[in-house]
Amino acid sequence: MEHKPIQFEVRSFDDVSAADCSPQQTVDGIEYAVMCPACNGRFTVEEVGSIYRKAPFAKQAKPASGVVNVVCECGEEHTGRPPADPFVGCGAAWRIWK
Amino acid sequence: MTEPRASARQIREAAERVKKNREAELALTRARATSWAKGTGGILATGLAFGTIRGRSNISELQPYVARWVGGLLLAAMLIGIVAVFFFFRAAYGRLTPIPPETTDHTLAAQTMKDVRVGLGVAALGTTLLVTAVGLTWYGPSRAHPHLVVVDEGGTSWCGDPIRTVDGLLTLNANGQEVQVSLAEAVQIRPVTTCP
Repeated sequence: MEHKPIQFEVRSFDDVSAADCSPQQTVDGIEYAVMCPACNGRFTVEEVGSIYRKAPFAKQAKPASGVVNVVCECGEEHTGRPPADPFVGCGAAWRIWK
Repeated sequence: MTEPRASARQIREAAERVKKNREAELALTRARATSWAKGTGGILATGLAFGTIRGRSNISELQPYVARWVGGLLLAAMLIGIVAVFFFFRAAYGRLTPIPPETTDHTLAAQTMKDVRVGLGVAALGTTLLVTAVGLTWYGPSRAHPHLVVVDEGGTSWCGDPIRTVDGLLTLNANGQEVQVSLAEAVQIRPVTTCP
C-alpha cells in the first residue's frame, strides 16, 4: 500500500499484535516493522530492554505494561503538523501488544 | 488485545518520554559517570590527605614482616586505585577504541554505566586494602625491643627490659614485674632479642 499524504491529525488506532510486526532482535532490544494505520507509512520502532534514567544501579525497565507505544514517524511531511512536534508523521498513535 | 484502546494523548506522552530518555541517555550517563568519578576521587583524596600513615616512623615501629605487609598493601592499593581511575575515566570520557559504526547510543550508555560499576568495585577494593594497611600500622605487632640478660654470682639469670639504673641497681621489667639486680654482683650482662 502506498503512503497517503493525509492531513496531520492526532488520533489513536486499535492495538496491533507484536507478532504481526516482524519482531527482530537487535543489539539493544527488539525492532518492530510497523505500518501506520492512517497514512500507510512504513517505519521501524525499536524497543530497548532498559534505559538508564534514574539511579545508576537501577535499569529502568521500559516494557512494564507489555506494550510499545507508537506514534507515526513515517518521515513524510503531513500538512498541519506542528513544527515542534517530535514525531515526523501524520499524528496517528497506536500500541503494539506483546 | 483485551485492553481498551488508549487515547492518542496517552500514547503520545508515553512515546515521547521514551524518545526523550533515549536521546538524553548517553549524555546523562556520561555526566553521571563524571560525578561518580569526582565524588569517589574526592573521598579517596580526603582519606589519603587525612590518612594516619605519616611516613617512615609509623612503619619503622612495626615488626619487619608487618612493615613489609603494610608496604605491599599500600602498593597494591595504589595500583588498584590507578585501575579504578582508568575505569572512571573510560566511563566519563568514553573508551579508547574506535566505535564500530553500528554502535548505538544505548549501547554506549550501557558500557558507561558498566564501567562506573566496575570502577566503584575496584575503588572499594583499593579502599579496603588502604584501610587494612592503616589498621596494621595501628594494631600490628610492634618491633621487638632488645632485652637484657643479667647473670648474678649465684648463677641465676634475669631477663627483661632495662628500666633504670640507680645506685648500682639495675631494674628490669620481666614479664610485667620489676626486678632489681645488683650490677656489682652481675657476672654477665648480654642483650638478647627474646626472653626465655
